[in-house]
Amino acid sequence: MLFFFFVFSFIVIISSLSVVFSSNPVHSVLFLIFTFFNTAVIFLLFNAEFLAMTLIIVYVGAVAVLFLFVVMMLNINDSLMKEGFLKYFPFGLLLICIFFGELYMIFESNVFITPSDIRISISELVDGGMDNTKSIGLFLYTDYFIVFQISGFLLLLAMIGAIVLAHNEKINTRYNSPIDQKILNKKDVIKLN
Amino acid sequence: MIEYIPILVFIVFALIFSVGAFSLSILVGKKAYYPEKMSTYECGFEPFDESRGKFEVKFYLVAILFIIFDLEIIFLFPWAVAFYEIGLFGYLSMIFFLVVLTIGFVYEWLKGALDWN
Repeated sequence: MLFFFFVFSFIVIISSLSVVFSSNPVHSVLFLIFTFFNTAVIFLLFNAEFLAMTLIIVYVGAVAVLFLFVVMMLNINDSLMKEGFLKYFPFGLLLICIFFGELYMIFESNVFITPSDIRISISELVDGGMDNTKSIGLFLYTDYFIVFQISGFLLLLAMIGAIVLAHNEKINTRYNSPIDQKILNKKDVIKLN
Repeated sequence: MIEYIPILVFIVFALIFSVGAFSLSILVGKKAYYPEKMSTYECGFEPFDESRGKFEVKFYLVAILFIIFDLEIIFLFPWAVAFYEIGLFGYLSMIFFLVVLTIGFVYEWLKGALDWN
């Protein structure tokens, strides 16, 4: 088991470095998909089957497609890509610092205790014969009610935001309304002989 | 864990086959490069434009709406599996979640974001 963990985490590290360093953005996205698959395998090794399948369905099936669209929407020129590096470097450094700070806070302290101070150990539940999907379902909708509803509102926000930003209402849609077709009178229609 | 062994065997064989086929064609295959073969083929014309054109933003809209409903369905799976244990509160919690997302769905439908033009 440990052997497989090391093999797949080695592949994850190599392919995620390739995401950053490959010059072609489309290759970057493909390496990202490869990273997602190998991360799913690592989840499987830790008995987190639901998370593994979710990673494949959501990240590979949807997020990677979104990234491909983003890559294709941008006007990519190899010479233009390298220009902004120094300009964006401090910002990226700041983001990395925030990310590592968050990781430190999660692993090293008890700042984030669960809302009602319940201690849930998924691995204990899994060892006790409960499957992974069920042990998530037992707590996500009741004990973590607030977090779950926040995620719902976040999805609503993402949906409305995407429509407001990307939807162009002015273009006439080539769409036949069934109601309009139903109320059409016979005499209003052009007859072809 | 044992039920995933066939997938591992499948991956190993796929790796051996794909690497083997590629390296065999590199090692054994005959290579002849000449300018006509190496140039871009575009139905007899010279290429007009770069192949990396800009895509329209509506594809992105469809993709992001797909992700949101994909996530909604993913949230339904553990709920359905643990349905009897979480009781009425868990049931109403999911109903509230679905109502919130249905508000977005109705907005999207009335706005015409689902109509392709």
